[in-house]
Amino acid sequence: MRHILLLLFIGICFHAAAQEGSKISGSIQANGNIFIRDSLIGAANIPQYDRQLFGGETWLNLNYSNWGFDVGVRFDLFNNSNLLNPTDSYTANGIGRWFISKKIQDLSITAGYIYDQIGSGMIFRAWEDRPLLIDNALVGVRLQYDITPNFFIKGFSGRQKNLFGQYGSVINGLNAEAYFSFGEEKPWSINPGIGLVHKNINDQTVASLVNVLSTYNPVDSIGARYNTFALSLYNTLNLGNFTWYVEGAYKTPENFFNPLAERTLFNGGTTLGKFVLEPGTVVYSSLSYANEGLGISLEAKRTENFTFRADPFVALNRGLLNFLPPMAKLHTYRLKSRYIAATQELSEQAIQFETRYSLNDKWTFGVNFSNITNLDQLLLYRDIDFEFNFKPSTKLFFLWGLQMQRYNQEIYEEKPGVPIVETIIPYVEVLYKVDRYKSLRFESQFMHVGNDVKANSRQDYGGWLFGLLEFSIAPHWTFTASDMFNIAPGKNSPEDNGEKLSLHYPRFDIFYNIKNNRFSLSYVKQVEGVVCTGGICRLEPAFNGVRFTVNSTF
Amino acid sequence: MQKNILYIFCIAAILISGGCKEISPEYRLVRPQEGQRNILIEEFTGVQCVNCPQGTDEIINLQGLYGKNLISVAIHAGFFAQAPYSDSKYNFLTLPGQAIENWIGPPLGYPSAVVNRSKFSGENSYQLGRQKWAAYVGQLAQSLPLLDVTANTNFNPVTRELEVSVTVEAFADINEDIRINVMLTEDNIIDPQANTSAPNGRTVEYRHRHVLRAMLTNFDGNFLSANMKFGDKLTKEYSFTLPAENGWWDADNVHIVAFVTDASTNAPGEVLNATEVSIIK
Repeated sequence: MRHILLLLFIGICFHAAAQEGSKISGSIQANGNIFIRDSLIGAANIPQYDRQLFGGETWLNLNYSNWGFDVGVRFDLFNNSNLLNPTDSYTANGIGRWFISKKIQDLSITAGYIYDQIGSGMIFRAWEDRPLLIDNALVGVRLQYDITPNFFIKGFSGRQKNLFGQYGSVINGLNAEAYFSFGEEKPWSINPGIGLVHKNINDQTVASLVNVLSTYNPVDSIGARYNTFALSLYNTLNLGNFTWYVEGAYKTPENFFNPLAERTLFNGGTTLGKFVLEPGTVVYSSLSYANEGLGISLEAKRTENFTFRADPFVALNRGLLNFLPPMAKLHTYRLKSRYIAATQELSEQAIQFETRYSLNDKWTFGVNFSNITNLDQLLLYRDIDFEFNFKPSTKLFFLWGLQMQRYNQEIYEEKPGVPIVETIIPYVEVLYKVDRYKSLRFESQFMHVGNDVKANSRQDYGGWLFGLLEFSIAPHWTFTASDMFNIAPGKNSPEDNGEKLSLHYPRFDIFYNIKNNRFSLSYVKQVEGVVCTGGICRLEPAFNGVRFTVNSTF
Repeated sequence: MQKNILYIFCIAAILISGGCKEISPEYRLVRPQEGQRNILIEEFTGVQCVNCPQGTDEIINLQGLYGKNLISVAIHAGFFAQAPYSDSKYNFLTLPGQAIENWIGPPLGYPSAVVNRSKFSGENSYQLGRQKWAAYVGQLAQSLPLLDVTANTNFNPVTRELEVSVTVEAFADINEDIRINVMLTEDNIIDPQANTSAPNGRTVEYRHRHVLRAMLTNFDGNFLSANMKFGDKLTKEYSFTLPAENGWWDADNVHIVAFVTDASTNAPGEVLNATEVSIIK
């Protein structure tokens, strides 16, 4: 049925494309992985290495506009894909998204698979994040009425997408947002908003929940709820060079699984993990200042029991209804991004400070500091990063700096008993423009890691050295070669006959761009690690193989 | 106009959030009566899995409620079972165990379990996170079995030869491809285990429960019948020689878990009924 829908849609699009005023656009993203077994680094014992050898994904998006309507459809294909579960294989295909949208004067109507959010997303965010196979579209209807150009109110109702199906709970939401500006000599403005989300869990899920709760020891007995309401108030104040955003959200008591809550067993013992019935709160604020050459931002967040999912039984990155902003800088350099702080839904308080100052056209200086603890003041993550930029000419650019981290591996990666990972990372990048088309870029980082006294070894995988050389011929070609070398192996580094190994993890890439097409071909040997996007992380096993990607828009 | 709209919004919000009081479900703490159908829970675990002891706790707790109606097997397989600790005395990884995980599909995270090899409505996988086990065990505990499985053992402690006889009796006509599966499990093996509750993240003398040691049939079962009539009885016999006791293979702790699957229903085949007996009477 879905395939017929897709073919019908494509037929209508091409038939109508001949007509005036119509517009077709689209995009395709295709990834392919060839898996080459390397049991030494742990790239083994999953179906792709053992017997499938190849896996990949494709998303084909088609959009069509005419007669004031916007319609779109997306075909999703997963063949032996490791995106859903990095240690398993996922094969499925079908219509991943369709929508139809029409604006009737000031009223916008959308039906189908909808991506949207309220405020910063704390109580509702429907979004897509392909590297982690997050596709939290709301399957339903959204109405938005623009009362004035600066004041809208919208409502939506639907169910959250779950791969090619849907979760059982029904999600309803209301959101109003306005913009007011004041003053002429010293203008200032506010952008207030209010949002309300209602989640109703279906009978089947509540029956399952009751089945679980009814097996609890009386001391852990709690009630079960069908409905949860989440309310959010937010505002952005712009005053001169200052911007201040604040958002607070409250969630009524709901049943969720707390993996750290102690539970009493019938034999008198205790274990960790049980369903609880608790309300949740989160408060987030950011203050930023921007002036010529100077930028400062300060952020703070406090989260308590704010897990908000379409189904109380799902975990990790499945069924997320909301998005809590991460409070640590997202680094791009390979070693700087090895230890990343995943957002903690149940207990977190964090501050982050960042400043950049340009002394002149040649010199820029930046500092970033973030400190994250749980509500009991247990340190989860700390990051101090000093960065210098120097641009002596239009042909030459230097960047160097020093980053120091504290990373609570016990909490983030659930590795009990391990010490807080301590890193010191000096880094450097040099860009040299050979001529108008050719450029050469070099980057390097060294990671010093602290000692694990109990294990009489360096922490985790120990120290690393990373080097990358990139040669670009604009506008088409980019060639990259890099190596991540485990220069001082640690407790978790692979070993042979009881001896820790200093392994190389090389990577070679070729990128080719032509018009709206981008192709890449890479050989990758990648160490096990935590991969995070937007504060959501999961453990990724080691990878060894060839990757190719195609990205096109039309 | 703007104010009116805002008022309407606020009233709607208040009505939705405060005006609608739900009638929450009422339930009693379950103390189930012994039933006719036994449920098999296969826990996928590994000695390097820090949260797996919580999974075992959950199963032991459920067994406290369901008694002999809940039969558990701990299958050490997958990511966390590949390499034991350097001071581990035993390696719990078995070929049939790993084959079963490959066949059913690895879970998104550990601990995980498959309940009666059933794929429940709304689930994408046979593998279930531990917070769901009680729900599905409770759901299946209310159902009646299509057949009965009984097992008898005869163990010679001198030669360590074990003879197993499994009898299946149909309670209805079953015209499907049904398979018999016989597992050998061992309880109470002491060896290190990663453990998030332990001070150093590891319990050196952890008591491993219901560990799959061997299978007397193929990992995916042996064909039993495709045409059983009400009242039919089929008996299959197996033999196995227990290796010498060397810290493990303690006959006092070895059990037979026999179960029948319906291979026509889905890939691993739903478990129709199961039984567990000790090899020493």
